[in-house]
Amino acid sequence: MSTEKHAAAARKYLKDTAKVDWQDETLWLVRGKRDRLSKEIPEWEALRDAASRIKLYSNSHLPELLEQFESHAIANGAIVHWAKDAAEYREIIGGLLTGHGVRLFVKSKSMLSEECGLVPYLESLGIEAVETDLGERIIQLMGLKPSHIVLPAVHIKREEVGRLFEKEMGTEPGNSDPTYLTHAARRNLRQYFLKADAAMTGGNFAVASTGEVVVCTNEGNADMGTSAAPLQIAAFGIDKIVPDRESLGVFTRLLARTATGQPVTTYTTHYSAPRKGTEFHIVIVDNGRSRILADRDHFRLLNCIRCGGCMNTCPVYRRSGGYSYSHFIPGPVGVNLGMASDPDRHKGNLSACTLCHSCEMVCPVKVDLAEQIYRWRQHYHTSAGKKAISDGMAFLMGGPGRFGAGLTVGPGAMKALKAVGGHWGKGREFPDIVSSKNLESLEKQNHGK
Amino acid sequence: MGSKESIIQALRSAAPQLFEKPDLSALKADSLRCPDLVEGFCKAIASSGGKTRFLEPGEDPATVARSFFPDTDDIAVVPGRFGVAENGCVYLEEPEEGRRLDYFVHEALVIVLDRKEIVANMHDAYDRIGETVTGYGIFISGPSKTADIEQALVFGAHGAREVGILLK
Repeated sequence: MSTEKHAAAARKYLKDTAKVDWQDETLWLVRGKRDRLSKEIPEWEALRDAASRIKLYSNSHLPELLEQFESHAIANGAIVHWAKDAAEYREIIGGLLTGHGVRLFVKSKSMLSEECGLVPYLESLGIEAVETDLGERIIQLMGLKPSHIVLPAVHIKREEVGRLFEKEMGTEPGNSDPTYLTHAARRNLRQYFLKADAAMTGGNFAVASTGEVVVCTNEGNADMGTSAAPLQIAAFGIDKIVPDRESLGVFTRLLARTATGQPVTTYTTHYSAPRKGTEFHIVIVDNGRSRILADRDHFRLLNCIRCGGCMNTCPVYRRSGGYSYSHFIPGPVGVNLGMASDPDRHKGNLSACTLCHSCEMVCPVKVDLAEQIYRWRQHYHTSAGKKAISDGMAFLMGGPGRFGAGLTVGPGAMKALKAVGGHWGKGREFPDIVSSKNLESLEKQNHGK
Repeated sequence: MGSKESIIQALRSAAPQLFEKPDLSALKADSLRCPDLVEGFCKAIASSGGKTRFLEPGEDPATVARSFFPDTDDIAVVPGRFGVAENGCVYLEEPEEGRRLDYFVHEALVIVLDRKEIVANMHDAYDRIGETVTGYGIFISGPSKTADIEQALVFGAHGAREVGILLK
């Protein structure tokens, strides 16, 4: 993934116009499904409000809820580990796997593992780490990174998957039927599930009152892995804590409806005790989350349940693709998470927002995504050009005299603005102002008739 | 200082604004409840790609399961604790001998459920489970599925390709 500015990366992406249109339509379709399902629930807004308030409660009471979670998890027979950063997360998991002599390791989708660079680290230890979610597996075999947090291979065409599986799984040449390819992957991955020495999941929710980790999936890959392997690991960020099962009633009604437009995921699995004769390890990870909690302007980011809804609705994400962002999580929430983790590295993403606020209307936990981007922009400018154009606008808008003068100067002023506009100017239409025929004079003319 | 202590200390020194735990009773009382729970449940199962059938007195679940899915011999028949009308979920607990794989590895999964044991929505479902910890619990709604290739819906990604509910 690039570290260049979003606008520059997006310009490359936009060259394949057919693919851009296809991607835009695909994501808008998912947004449409979300709309249909949410409108079937009369109490939808009350659910969003409850979800937001539960998260604000749990994130502002993390020390006691985490302690409560840990004591219940230990009582259930799980072994609990704490990792303050990505390095410690990798070392704990690497240590567990090498300590158990694990050669083959299957994992389900976990954005935390992407965040902490788990798979490359395990490979450096000589462990074969297999992604088992179909989209993640496609991405892994292609040597790519996910372009969306829920639909990791949303940018890949079926023909590309067909060619990949022909090489990797021996499927028929030229066959790119999604059903055929999915069932080929089913057969192929079964060997890994049944042979794996260890299986890992992330966690959608961690319940303080019971010490259980809840994992929501459609494919059953997380369930296959954890039900077969002698060693199970579940790792999650501290922001996944919810107080009790009553809260799960709220989140399970919102998550899949917002994420993919389904009433619920196929599997909602509650892991508390190890399966008979096996070990269950839980890794609780901070990695910068306590720092976000301390930031008065941005702590609501910790509400995020990683549904991807903000990506599907974002006009900039839909038409610039996941790889145009420098952070591994793209879209509105990714812009904010990137700034929260490393602002100098990710400030180039700040331009990837029109402040249309659609993300905030969709977000099931009411993260103030666009407002946060606006606040970041007050502190960081994406480029000298952006700064120049905003200063220029401030000058023009500084008083009626200046504004009027700017209008009558007309085309010359606009050309000058376009020249300093940099990335902002490209691909955007500036209003054409006809010299000495500005709105005021047009109005006078019309009234004079 | 251990990592746990340093995380807890970082969280305490973050000193966030404290928010109250919301009271969910009004939301739960006003939540969508279809008038006929069995009908709602069967509809939801159908839209998630599963099948339902009533089990008449004296019928053997294993025999009916075979007629349900005549194309395969690889069928697991398991008991479900209760169903959820709003989304077609069935709640299952830790299977015998901890054989969790039985829920996923077979071509077809048949769940036997008492038709009186259907709740309206997920709020009622979690109230029903309560806070008791049984080691493992899962909601299953229909067959395994994916849309990871061009958003085309395909059943049978990794778990059971077909799911049938027998309502006794």
